[in-house]
Amino acid sequence: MRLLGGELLKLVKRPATWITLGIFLGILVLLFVAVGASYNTMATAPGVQGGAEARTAIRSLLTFPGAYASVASFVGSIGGLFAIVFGASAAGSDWGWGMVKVAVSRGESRTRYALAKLAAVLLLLVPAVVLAAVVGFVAVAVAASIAGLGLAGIGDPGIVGSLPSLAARTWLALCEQAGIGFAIATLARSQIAGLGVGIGIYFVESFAAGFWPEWVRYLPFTVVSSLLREPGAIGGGVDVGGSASQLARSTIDQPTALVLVLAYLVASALISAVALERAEITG
Amino acid sequence: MTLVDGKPAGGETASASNVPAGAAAAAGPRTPGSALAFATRGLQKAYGTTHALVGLDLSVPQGIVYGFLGPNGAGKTTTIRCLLGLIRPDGGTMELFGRPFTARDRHRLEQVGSLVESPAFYPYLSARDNLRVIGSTGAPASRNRVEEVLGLVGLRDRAGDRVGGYSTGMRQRLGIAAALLSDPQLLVLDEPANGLDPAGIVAMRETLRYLAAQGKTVFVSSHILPEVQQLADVVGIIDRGRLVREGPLDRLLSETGQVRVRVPPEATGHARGVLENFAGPDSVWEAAGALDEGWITVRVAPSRSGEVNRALAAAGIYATGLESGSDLESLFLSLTGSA
Repeated sequence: MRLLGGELLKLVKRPATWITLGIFLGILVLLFVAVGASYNTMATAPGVQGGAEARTAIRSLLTFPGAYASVASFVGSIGGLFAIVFGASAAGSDWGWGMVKVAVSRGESRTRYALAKLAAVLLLLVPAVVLAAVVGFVAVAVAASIAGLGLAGIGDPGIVGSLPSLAARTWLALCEQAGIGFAIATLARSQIAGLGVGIGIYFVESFAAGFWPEWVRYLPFTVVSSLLREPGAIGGGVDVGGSASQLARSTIDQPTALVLVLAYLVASALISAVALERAEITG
Repeated sequence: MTLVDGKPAGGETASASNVPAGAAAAAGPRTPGSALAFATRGLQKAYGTTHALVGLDLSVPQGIVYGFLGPNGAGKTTTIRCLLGLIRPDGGTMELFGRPFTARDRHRLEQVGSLVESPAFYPYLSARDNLRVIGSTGAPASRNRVEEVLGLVGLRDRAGDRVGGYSTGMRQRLGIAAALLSDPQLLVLDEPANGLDPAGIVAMRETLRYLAAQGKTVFVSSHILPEVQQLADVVGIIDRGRLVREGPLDRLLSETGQVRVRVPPEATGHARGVLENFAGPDSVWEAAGALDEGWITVRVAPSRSGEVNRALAAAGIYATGLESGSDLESLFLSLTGSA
């Protein structure tokens, strides 16, 4: 607990933590408000190709109760990029500042040190998810008002009751992605390497999904969308507008997705611990 | 006593860990104990094709200040990294406090405080928070202990400031505070005087002497030979990964010490004979330069300069001048071939 407390202290007081969260929340608000504002433009602008389809998609994004899943999907996918940044910077900066050397030379267990640091990152993602959800829902409500869609369904008891589960899955999705950034930065002993490689894999995976969706759906960044899909919810998922067959090829069932996400997270923790155990600390 | 300007920092209060005035001096001359705080036998380490350590045998007695010297690239930092479990030796053995020390025994480093190369901190945290974070690893350190070591190094007034704004000397002092955090039995310091002002160096020296007087072992790696000469009880000199000399500083200095006496020019031959009988024929030589006419050099410990003078007087030769001295630098340069 003492070690975890120290890790939490330095993450909470680190400006980069709040800057990362701030940028993400800013993008979240901007995106939803921009979508809401564009809804009416599409209705009035003459000659807009596919305007009706776009309006349908926007309506499904901003209309409650499906909007809950929209926010979760956004937080789990785009937020995943920020989770990679957060995880990689937490692990890599300790190498850059020489603090791994300090901890190890004080007799601290390397494995315990790596796991406590990762645990602190994952714990801080809890308030981050809650805050992102609150800001996201408010942003959707504002966007829906701008679009004139109203807030009907916002208190749907069926969906509201499932929000804790949705939040937990969103948190797990972010944990998995932060864990990957953390593991890469620990292996490379570099914050920049963790960021670059982590984000690189993220985009390569997204690109590859267009060619081999039946394989890529099992990969760590893509499996997150299956985990966050709300069965039966309108707009729940990142592939709004996709056909049923496309959806079936690019997603897996939620229990399998949950197992895979946990497996990737555990693998990241193990890789980090083993990498630190074996590291020759010369810097 | 603090490490700042040789006087207590403002707002600092006395604490149990502060060095009492004159305590270092009161500690007096120390003699190495028989128990070893740290030892290596045949320690080897290579980085690729570069052999940093090639069978290093080191014996660091408990309760002393040990000066670890060597030219750049001699293997000093590699030795310290091996001791602190940062790297794995390729061969040889290590002992910590009389027991074998391997990678499995890393938890025993809780008894060791260290400052390796440049001090490392989180620049965005205050000194106090840095010490709290560092104290969350390894041996526990209470909040009181954090305040104690901040007071000891004279940083209590600046403890709430971000370390990113600290000067090199302040960071160095904070590094020493971090090394002392767990009240270690063995303190390993790599170039501890880096960045310290003269008053800070004096204060650090007194602190380290005080710690040794308290029974702690201080292992100091340094390039500043006069500083080590003033501080160390035992010195180990390493060159090209091997120990080339180790022993009590007094003894090593006596090996390189010399006494110069000036006698009337007409008595030079007689005086030389007397001194050769005193110290041996290979230990006496005359200066060659005209300006040095009448000066004879005898290789003996400076503490024996009175005996030299007495031997000459007994032979009816009265010295008109006498100088004595010895320095670690001469020994270091002769042993490491850096001269």
